Amino acid sequence: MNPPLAALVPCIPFAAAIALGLIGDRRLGGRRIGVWVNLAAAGATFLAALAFALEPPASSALLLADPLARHFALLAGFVGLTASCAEFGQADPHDLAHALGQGFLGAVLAALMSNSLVVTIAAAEAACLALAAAAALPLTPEAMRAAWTGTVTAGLAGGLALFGVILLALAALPAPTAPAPTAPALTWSALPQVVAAGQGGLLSLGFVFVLVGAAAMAMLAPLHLWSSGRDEAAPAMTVPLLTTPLMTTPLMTTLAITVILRLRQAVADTVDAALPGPAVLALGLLALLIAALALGRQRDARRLVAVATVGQAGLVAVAIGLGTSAAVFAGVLHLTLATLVLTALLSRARTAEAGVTVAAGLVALAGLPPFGLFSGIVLIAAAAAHAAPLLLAPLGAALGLSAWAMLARLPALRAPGAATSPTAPRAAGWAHVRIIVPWLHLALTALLGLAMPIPLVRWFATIAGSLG
Amino acid sequence: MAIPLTQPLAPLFGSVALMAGLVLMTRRRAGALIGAGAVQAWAAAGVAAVRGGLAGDAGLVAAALITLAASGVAIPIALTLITRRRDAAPVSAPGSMGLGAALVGLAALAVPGVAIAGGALTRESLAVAIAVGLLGALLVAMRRSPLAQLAGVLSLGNGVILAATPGVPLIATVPLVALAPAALLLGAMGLGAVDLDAGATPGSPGP
Repeated sequence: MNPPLAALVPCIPFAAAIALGLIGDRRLGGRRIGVWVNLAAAGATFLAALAFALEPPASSALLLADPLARHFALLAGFVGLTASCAEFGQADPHDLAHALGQGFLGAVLAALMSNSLVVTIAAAEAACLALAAAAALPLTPEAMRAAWTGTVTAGLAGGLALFGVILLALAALPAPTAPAPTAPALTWSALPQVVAAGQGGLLSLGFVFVLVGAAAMAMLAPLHLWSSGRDEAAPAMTVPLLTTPLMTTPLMTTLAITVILRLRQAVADTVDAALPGPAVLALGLLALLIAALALGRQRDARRLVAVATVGQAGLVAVAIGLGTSAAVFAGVLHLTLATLVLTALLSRARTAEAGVTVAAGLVALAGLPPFGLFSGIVLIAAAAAHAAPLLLAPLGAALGLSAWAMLARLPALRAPGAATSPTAPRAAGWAHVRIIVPWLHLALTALLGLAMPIPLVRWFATIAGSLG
Repeated sequence: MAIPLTQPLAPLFGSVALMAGLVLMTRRRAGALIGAGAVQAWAAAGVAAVRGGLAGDAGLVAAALITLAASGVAIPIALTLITRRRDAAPVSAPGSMGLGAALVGLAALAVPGVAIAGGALTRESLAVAIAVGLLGALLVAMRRSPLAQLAGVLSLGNGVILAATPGVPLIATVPLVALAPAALLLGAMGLGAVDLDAGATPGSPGP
């Protein structure tokens, strides 16, 4: 695949978003044309992402084609496709939901595949804004408040991250020469070399700003606690998880965690050694502990998914904070599987008959076999035991508490009339698609937990190795 | 060696931006918030224009023009039309000023005492930029009114522009990224999608 073709991966969903916006609710044979366009675009995006992952082009100033970018682009393409299939089985999706969903997917892919730090942050902010706009679609006062919180958070997180990028660029600027000093291209692939020649104090400052911005986007505690209003349904970026119709919402956390992973590994040897690892680790552990304590208080399936997302992001951040190859391997594996499970849960958590699917998803998130998250947790714990044995006590306590809280919710969620929102309308004859999709995700995580193929193990090992 | 007349302008504009940031922290009247935000945008644009002009960096000059046009002119005019006679919630002026001053001190301490960007930016200029950005973030986090939160997002963007120096890659796109959420927030306010009186007490003047 050559670079121009690789550009198709984010461009297809962007083009589809524009087309879907123009098509609106036009119908053909009684069915919305937009539903078909959405499915076709998602299929084409997945195929393009698959080609990008299997036959990667060389990285350039704009395009990043390292193993991590290829892996998560493929995951995003896959989740986008299954989400479109699930939405196909829904009778009356909002006209703009498909357009915003494709715009969100395009922004996530652009951020994942961009080699420029500025473009990555801009695309991540655009993804946040698409989520916030999607949250507004019900047009109720509560939805508007949720959208406002999402937009303000996107502005805050994006602004802080952008500030950090400017500081990193300043740290890397060479001495002024006539007519003006030219900074080296601030790309992810060149970042380790660029920061190696930069000024330590300014690099640390830049790192902190980008970390805070990305952590706010990833919903890491305590940054998820901020609320723009005193009567919000939920704080900060967890709001879209509660209100948006987009099943792909967990990709936002995946993207932001990827940014943190790249940044932490790039500056690990240059910024003050006491800063990157422990800072990310502390944020992760705090998120995990807060989510573990909050899970037991949730009475609604969707809020449970939102809080579980904070906990999963925290666990992956702990692995990133440890920073060893084994920990990065475990973190990337866990992030991949958690994204699959959370999207499966999100597609079902709004429906009244969600009990069994949500229960299976919670068993997976609790880290119980046969689901692959069990492997992820074991590997992260093993990496922690090797790198920081004292970490095992709080990590074990938080994981145990989370698992207990989620399993304790199972009877209530299985009971008829469990605390869930009304059933989403379904298209006659296509209802089974909405059931198959989450179970496909769960089956994949179970398969990877029971018997991960050797090529996949090598794939994850290559990703961990490429990040040093 | 003669110092160009324009060179002292950047620190002067930076100081104006910082003062405007502190004013934003303590004002509750819509007109005062909008005015202080506009002055801060003009000052930030002035700093970027001077630095870009001196170094012959077209990207930085473009960033200055975008900031001036959007943050300094268009958004204040639109906000004035939308928020006629509506005010933000009352604030504790001494408390806010104290927090703001603490943040400015923190920003000054955070900047390392070394030559920045090979001398292209002074330590004080960067401290001012960080302080303006942090004041914006604090404004967003502390104030409940939509107007004050929008002003905070804009202030954060102005801080980013104040930190920009010639040679930073893709600098012309930075104001666009910083202003995108503000434009959406403004749109939501304009369409009446948010309660502009949110956070205001019953005693505050209405339309």
